[in-house]
Formats: sequence, structure tokens, C-alpha cells
Amino acid sequence: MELIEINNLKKAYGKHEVLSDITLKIPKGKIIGLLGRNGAGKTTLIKLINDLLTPTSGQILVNGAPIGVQSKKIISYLPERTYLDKSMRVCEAVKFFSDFYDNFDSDKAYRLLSDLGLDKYTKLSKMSKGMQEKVQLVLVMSREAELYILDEPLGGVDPATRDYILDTILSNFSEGASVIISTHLISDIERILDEVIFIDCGKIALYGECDKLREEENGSIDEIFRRMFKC
Amino acid sequence: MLGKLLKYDLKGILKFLSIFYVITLFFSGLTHFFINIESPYIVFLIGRILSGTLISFFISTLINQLMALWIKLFATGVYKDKSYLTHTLPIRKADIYLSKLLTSIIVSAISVTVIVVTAFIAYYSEERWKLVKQFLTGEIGKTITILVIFLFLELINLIQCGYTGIILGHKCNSGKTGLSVLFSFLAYTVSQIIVLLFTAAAALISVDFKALFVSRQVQIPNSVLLTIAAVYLVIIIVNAIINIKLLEKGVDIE
Amino acid sequence: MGFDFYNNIPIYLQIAKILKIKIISGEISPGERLPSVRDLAVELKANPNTVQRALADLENEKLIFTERTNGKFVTDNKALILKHKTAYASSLTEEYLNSMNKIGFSKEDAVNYIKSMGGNA
Repeated sequence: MELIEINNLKKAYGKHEVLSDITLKIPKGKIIGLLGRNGAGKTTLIKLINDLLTPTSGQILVNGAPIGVQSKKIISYLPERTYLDKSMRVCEAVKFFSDFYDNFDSDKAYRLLSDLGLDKYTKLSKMSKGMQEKVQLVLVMSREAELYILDEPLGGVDPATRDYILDTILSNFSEGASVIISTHLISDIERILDEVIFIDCGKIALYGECDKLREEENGSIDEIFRRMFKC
Repeated sequence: MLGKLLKYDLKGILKFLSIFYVITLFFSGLTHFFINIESPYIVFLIGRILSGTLISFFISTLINQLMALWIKLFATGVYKDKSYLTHTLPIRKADIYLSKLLTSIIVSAISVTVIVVTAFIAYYSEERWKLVKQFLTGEIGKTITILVIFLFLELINLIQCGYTGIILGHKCNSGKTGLSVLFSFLAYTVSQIIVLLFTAAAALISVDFKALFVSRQVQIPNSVLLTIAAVYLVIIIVNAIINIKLLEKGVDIE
Repeated sequence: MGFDFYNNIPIYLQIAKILKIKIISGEISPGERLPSVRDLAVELKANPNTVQRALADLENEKLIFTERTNGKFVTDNKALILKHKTAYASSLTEEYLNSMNKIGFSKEDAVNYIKSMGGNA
């Protein structure tokens, strides 16, 4: 059984079709890049998997079952925006997550927070956007999930933190867990990807194994992407 | 999970409303101090002004509570920024809604209690209390109790119609805020029409109900009040079920 | 920290090469236990599955072997390691001679050039 099975998924707002007929199988135990231009449908697809949007038609199955309480237990999602209650302190946010998620590791969270120099008693509203994003990343990675979905985790982040984030993703890689990373910064991240999905104009343009693509196309994933989507 | 959700929802709203409760309490104390002094005239006047301010704070507390529940608790929590968290937690949509509804009921009860208690503090005097006690015992006491329950249910219905409007408004692709307000009014109107229709239907069967429409008397029998209150309760429960079903159909968060 | 991979060549091949060089240079001794897949992945900043594939390649070449519960080990077969070392040295040399040839140095020129560098080598 695949981790995620998407069948003929379509999402439209009135007449405007954002995703058309997406059929996709996400396997377990792989780090997968979700690449595409702005407005291609990456975030829409991610939000559909996380029950933040409702399909116009088609279905998404997680471990064989429709999206619901069970799927949310095993999916850890890092959105592009800040979404935590800003009046909370960092330690309160950690408590919140541990209250609702059985697979949340508070000790790990505090370790990661101190690694990143984040004080647990600070209120989120008093932190810079970058720091808030780091807190969110820590919370997401401190869960022992089967699927991590990271939407633009490297955007607007300094190179040192970028390295730290990649390290955390790699060391977090437990048996059978998958990671979906949606990003523009392909060259920074392609070395850690197993597979890559190119999405364009609401459709899947390509889905393949990275090393295989490198062999076949004689180029980096970044180059393959540029060739495909030359303006 | 519902318990945990309720804890966080309640804490969030009470933290916000507590300021109003504290200010109201403060003014009730002040009012009590000034209002019992008859002379000099300036003090008497200050007492009257404070009393007016206190009353306006009662109203302000209620209005702010409604706004806090509709906007801060529901709209923000279910459809705006916080919704990213709300909808990705491993909880059922029914629990999300029930937590909001229960928070509304508890907070309303607290607000009403605060208002009654602070009014008591402000206007307490030996003789007034004797008068009120006399008033509260006996038949009139029962009527007052039923009336309080009745008005409380009306308040909860009002709040929930707001939630219905927000849910329906957000099913549309644009103009969500405006449509939310519109649908809220519609939902409230529908609830009132249902009560009216029920009363009219009951008038065909019962003399008491018929009297509501026919005679000009102000005295409404307890049984009638109780029955209409029960209708409100049914409306609230059915509305809640409808709202939950609407949420379970799915949301579209921006 | 982390190895600078070329993104346009399969990463598993690059990892296999890195590990192979470590083995034939003796940096990892014959019979020595290799770090776990996860540790290698973090050290190289590469995908664990890709590391796994590189290790599988090396296992095919018999340079490493798996002991089921204990992990992966470098072979004891010093002759095999020497064979790979020689083969790698040959390919390096061939590459060097080809590059020198491209700029106009013949094989003899190249040899003399190396001799003249004696002090630095």
C-alpha cells in the first residue's frame, strides 16, 4: 500500500481550474521534491492533502483511507505562512502540540529550539518572522510522523539555517517516513531528494527518480527543470 | 480531544473578555460607593453618572462577547490564520464545532453571571434586597427563572446563527465577509420564523397559545414560556447538527 | 561539513566513489566497520536511500559486505583492494595523460614534466 494515493484529483474555483486530473502515488520512505513555477498548483495540492481545501472531484487516500483524523495523526505539515497563535509563548506552543499529538517529542523540540538559539519563554509576537518560522519548523520536525510536508522550508532563510534544516530532515529520516518538500530553490535541495515531481499548470509534468533522471538527461534536476519550463 | 480543545478555546476568549469583566467589576464597586450617598448633590450626580456608565459596560460586555465569539473564536479559528492549525490537528470536525459552541455557552453564562453579580454589588442595599427577595419568591420567581432560561437560549441561538452565517458565507468563492453577515441575518430570521410558526400552530391546539395572539394581556403562562424555550432548544440542537454536517463537507482555507 | 556533490551526475555514483577512495586509500581499514547508513547520510548531507544504493554497488564489487545484525564492513581481501587501487590509479593516469595531450604534451613530455616537479611531489 502506498502512503498516499491520489486519483483523478481536480480542484476548481468556479470556472478556474487550479488542479486538473492529478493521479499520483507517493511511496513510503522517500524524500520527494515537489517543484513547479509560482501558481502551478504546488500549495493547492499540499493543502488538499492536509484537508485545508476540499476536492472538486477525485479522491486522496492516506494509507488506504480517506483524509480524516487518522491521516492527520501521521502527517506533519509545515505551511509557508506563520499560523501559530502569536499570543502564545514558545513553551506554550510546545505544550499545545504535545497535548494534541501522541507522537510529539517535547524533549527533542526543546533540544532543537536551543540549537537554534530560541528562548522558550519568549512570546511569538515578540519574535521576528524568521524566528517564528524556525519555531514552526521545530514543532513539525519534533513529531514522529509518517509523512512530513514542508512548503518552502528554505525560503527567506540564511545559509547556516538552511544547512541546519537539511541536516534535521536527513537525521529525522526514520524508517518508512516520507518527506515532501515543495520549493523553488531546486539546486540547494536536489542532492537529498530521492524522487521529484514537476507540476505545471495544475498537471503533473514529470515524476521520476533523481539519479535516473540525471543519467538519462545528462544534467542536474535544476537544469532539467529549466529546460522544461523555458520562458 | 474535545476537552483539550475546549480548554484552549475557553482560555483564549476569557483572556480577552476578562478585561471587560474586571472593568465592569471596578465600576460596580465605584457605583456602589457613590450611589448610596444622597448629599452633597455633586456626589449624588457622580453616583448617577457611574451607574449609567456601569449599565453601558453591561451592554459593552455583551456586545464584545458576541464579537469575540463570532470573530475571534469562530471566524479566525475556522477560516483564517489559526485555521491552518485547527484543521490539521487530529480532531473531528464535529469536535471543532462543539468546542466552539460549548465555549459560547460557557462564556455567555459567565458574562450573564458577571453582569448580575456586579449589578447586585452596585445597587445593593438592605431594603432593596428585601424587596427583590419578596419579588423572587413564589410564582413570579418561577416565571423569572424560566424567563432567564428563555432569554439565555435566545442568546445562544443568536450566537449560533452567526456561526451558520459564517460557515455558509465561506462556502462561496468571493465576498465571504459580506455574505457571512447576510447569511447570519437570514439564519436568525429563519429561526425566528420557525418559532413564530410553531406558536401559530400551537395556537390552533392550545387555548393558552391562542391567547398570545388574541388577547392583549401581558401575563404569559409559564407553560407557554417553557414550551417556546423548548422550541429554541430544539432549534439550537438541529442548527448545531446542520453546522457540523456543513463543516464535514469540507472547508476551503485561503 | 557535507560533501559538495555535482548535481548533474547521479549522486549514488559520487557517493560510491567517495567511499571507494576511502577504502583503497586505507582511510577506512580492511575489516573495519562502516558508519551506519544514517550517519553517512548526515555526514555527506545526502539522502539515506542514495547512500544505501551506493553501498549496494560497493557490495556488488565485493569491496564491502553486510553482517546482518552488525552492519557493513570493509572486506578483508587486501588483494581485491589493491586491485581496485591499481585500477583507480590507472584511470587517474589515463585522465591526466589525456588532459596533457589535449594541450599538446606527449606522453614523454608528461613524464619529464612530472620528473621536473620532483621537489613538490
